[in-house]
Amino acid sequence: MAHALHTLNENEHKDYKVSLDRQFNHAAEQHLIPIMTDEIFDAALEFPLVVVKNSETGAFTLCAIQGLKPETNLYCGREQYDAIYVPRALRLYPFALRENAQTQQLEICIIDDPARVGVESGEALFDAEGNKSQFLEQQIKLLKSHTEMAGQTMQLMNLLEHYELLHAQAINIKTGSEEISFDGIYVINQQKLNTLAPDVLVKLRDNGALALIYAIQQSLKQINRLIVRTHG
Amino acid sequence: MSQPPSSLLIVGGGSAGWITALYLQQYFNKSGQKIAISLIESPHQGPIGVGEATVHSIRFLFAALGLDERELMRETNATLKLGIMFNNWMMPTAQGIHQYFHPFEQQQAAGQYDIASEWLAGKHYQRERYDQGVSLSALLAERGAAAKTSQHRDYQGYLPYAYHIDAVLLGEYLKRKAIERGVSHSVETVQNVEAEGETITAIVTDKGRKNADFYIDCSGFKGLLINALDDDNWISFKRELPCDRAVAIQCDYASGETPRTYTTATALDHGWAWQIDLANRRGNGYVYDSDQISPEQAEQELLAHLGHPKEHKKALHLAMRVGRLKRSWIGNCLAIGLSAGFIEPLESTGLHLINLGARLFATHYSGQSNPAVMRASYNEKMAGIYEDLKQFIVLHYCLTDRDDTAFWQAAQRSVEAQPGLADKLEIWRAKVCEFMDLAGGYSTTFTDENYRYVLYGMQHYPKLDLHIDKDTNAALLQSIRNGASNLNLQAIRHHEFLTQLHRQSA
Repeated sequence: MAHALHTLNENEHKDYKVSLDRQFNHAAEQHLIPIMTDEIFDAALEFPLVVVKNSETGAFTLCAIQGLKPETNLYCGREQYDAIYVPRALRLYPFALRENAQTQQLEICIIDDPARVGVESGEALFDAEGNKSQFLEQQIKLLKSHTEMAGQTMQLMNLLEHYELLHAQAINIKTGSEEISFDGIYVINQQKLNTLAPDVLVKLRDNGALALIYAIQQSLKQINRLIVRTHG
Repeated sequence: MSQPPSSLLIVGGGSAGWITALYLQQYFNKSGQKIAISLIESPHQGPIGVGEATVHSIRFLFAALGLDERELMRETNATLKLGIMFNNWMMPTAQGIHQYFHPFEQQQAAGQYDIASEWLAGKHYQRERYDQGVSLSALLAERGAAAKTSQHRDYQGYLPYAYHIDAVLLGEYLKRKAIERGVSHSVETVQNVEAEGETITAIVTDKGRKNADFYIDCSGFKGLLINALDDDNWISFKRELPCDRAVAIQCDYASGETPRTYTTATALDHGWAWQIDLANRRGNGYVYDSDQISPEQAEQELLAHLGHPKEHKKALHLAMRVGRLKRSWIGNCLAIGLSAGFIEPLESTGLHLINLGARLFATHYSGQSNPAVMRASYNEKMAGIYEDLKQFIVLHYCLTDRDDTAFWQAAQRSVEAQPGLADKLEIWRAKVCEFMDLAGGYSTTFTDENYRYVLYGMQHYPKLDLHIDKDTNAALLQSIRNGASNLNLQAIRHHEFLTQLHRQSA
């Protein structure tokens, strides 16, 4: 991820092409992949979902665990990405949104990753007249829904924090001779959840949060898939 | 504590009357009725606004009126507006016709100097228009991109924007809202105004006598109430702004044609023509000097400008009284809208002046401990607003190099009629136009940002002796171009936005 971000524009990127990579090699060394609220039900069927606290900003982020050790991903960068659901964060690459410090506008950026971005081969970003291609149109749509959902996800994280439904928990996994310890993650505090006041429960049910909370909680069971894959 | 509500009577049911009624109803009566507001309108008023263009601050008015933006836009066939394109305000050159764009936004990015100085010192005028260099809106307008998406909240977008709106439908919509919210309404024709000195005691209509504590005259150019109180209350702007008539013609869109997201103001031989695109039709009109041509000639010139469309609505001819009242608040009567003054809508300020009038009245009226002081304060401010706007409009004309007709020859001299402007223009040949050059006036609507678009659009460039770093300067302006291009990638097309908007109602 040490590649530079550039504000995408037709002046500089008219001839740019993006090659597709269904192995998501760019994430081969990330074990946590961000997940947004609208992805929770799909992602929870395959990956353990946990909450991670950003050590700098203190903000909570919802992530899917795709590897049991830092800098290891058991899905991306392998021969084949063999899960049904691909988190949106993986599909966005090599595009990202960033706020321009001067204009305060959100800008679509392209990540200057030579493995994916170039002028030789791949999906063109612009047509001959300089209009955005269908491919780029799709990517921009994806980026927009990602940003929109980021707001919703932050609201969900705030709710979890507000009702003290998160607690820090180290996950210790024994796999064969190895013992792996997962630190700095937060999971749903089941005890708190079970003792929520009825009016709070009704509120969480009505705004849709309750179902998401249960899905996040249940998803922890998927850790077994990762253990199996480590051995596979 | 519980005084009986005082009463306020508005005469006239156009945009001015209904905006004022709704605004004051929200302002005074939202939490319990303090003032009983009623409005009377005549049975056959022909609304003057033919298709209004607006300025971007109209969004704050609509928000203050508590109106749902999507509903408002649907009911008034509104479109989004990013600015005004001025065509032919100078002589054509070998490169083509003269054009500049006046958007609602200027980028604040700065290198060593402010963005305007950087643009000028880097001689970017050799390659592009000022608006193309310093705004994002220019590119979006050119590409037909909408200022917002359906995901944006009401009255918010990527960039500041205004609307093109059907003024007749706006009046009807606001009327419905105002009546829903408790403004009482009746159809009556005013026959007489009874006054003692400068105080109105009653209005006599075809239905009887009407009393109120306060009267607001929104009767248009007639000024039925305000003119009954003082017959020496008018300052004409005819010398500075000679255009005093207009002819309007509506057309349908040709197949495949979609509404533009900007207003067009094209200079013709004896005035200028507007093009205001609504969702369902195109509004055209010609504002001209009646000393130069007859209404028939104006209609012919407009039709020629439109390329003699095969089908169009019947032309509507209008006469305007150009100027302002000396005092728009006299005794217990206030004039808002055309009854208070008129300046040609070159900068789309018709609804804006109503907005300012209603807002200022609300604050002044609610605090009326000493009515004479509040009246004087209101009158001074409104006079300042009209004078300031007049100066800004004159600026559009006096910088022209056109001398092809008597009208344009006179336009070059119009600066002489506007006190102080010639000095300012000289100063602006030596340095950029700055906020402090205009401060102390009432230039809340049009500030140095706006003046620069017109000054540099009309090629009134200062000669700056600044030493700029070429690379930094180039990178700065390139970053704005890239930002505009990027925004254009994110934005949906204006016609798509309108299609989505109207689909939602189905």
